[in-house]
Amino acid sequence: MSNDPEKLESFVDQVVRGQPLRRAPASLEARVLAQLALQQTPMPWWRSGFTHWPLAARVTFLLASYGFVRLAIAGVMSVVSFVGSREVAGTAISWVHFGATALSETASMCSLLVHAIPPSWLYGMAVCGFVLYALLFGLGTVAYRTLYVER
Amino acid sequence: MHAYQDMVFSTAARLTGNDVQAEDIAQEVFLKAYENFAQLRSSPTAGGWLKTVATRLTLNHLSRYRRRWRFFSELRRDDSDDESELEFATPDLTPDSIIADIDAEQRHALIEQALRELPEHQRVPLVLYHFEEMPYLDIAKQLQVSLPKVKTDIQRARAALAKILARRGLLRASVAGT
Repeated sequence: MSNDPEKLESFVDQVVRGQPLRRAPASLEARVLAQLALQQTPMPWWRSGFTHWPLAARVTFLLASYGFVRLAIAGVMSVVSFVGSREVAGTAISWVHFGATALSETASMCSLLVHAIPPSWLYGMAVCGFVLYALLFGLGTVAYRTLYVER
Repeated sequence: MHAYQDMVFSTAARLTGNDVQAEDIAQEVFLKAYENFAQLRSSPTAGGWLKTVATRLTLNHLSRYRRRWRFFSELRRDDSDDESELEFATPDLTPDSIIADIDAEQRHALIEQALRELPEHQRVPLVLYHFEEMPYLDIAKQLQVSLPKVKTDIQRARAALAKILARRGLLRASVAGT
């Protein structure tokens, strides 16, 4: 038995020296050519960016989006007015009404609080938050490099 | 492409130990070559360029793959630092240890199979050193590991390869049996 590194290295060298190249699969060339052909085929307009769309498609898309937004807003408004106008106790609607009222009260309280805090404090908190985020990011990077990359 | 496809595929296949992934990588290499066709067409170093790109893309692929699955495989520690592994006895090897009368094609296939059996952290530096003729320092830089770790991994890979080849009957009986 031997554990001589030099013998082992020359043995592997000898093994490797006579080793021919592996034969590439016959499908490789066809795959490359197909991919190249695909890349050269112009993409349909709907698969490219919005700025490359035809004018008519862009206008239609914007109008449809506007319509959907209007529809969504109208739907939400009608639900809210429906919930607000009914005084149905003991049903699911009353719970929705309660939830909406609680949400609205919380929002107005938060708004009051934000207005009560001096702006300089708010800026300070934002900066502090950013610094803490950067610190966490840095610590994460150091941990990654120390515990993972260097292993 | 005909002239280089075996070389590109071999590089990727030996590093990944997986023919399907190697074919994907080879495809990517040739698509990159096509993007640089104007420069490569008349370049005498086109082969070297393709080999470098194939190596780089394969290492990127392996690193991405490792990162992706590391979270799930954290408990299964496959890159053991157990020094006892380094000390296991290998057959007493000499340059003529390999049985010469085995059919060359069969011998080559057995060697490729043995390479595939090595764990990735041993196979990759071994292939970079012995097949791609990359110096230890460059391998350490490429793999972002320390130089001693590269040397240890390659030494372990050689020992493991010899052991696999002995088990497969590719070494002389006197060597394999000891």
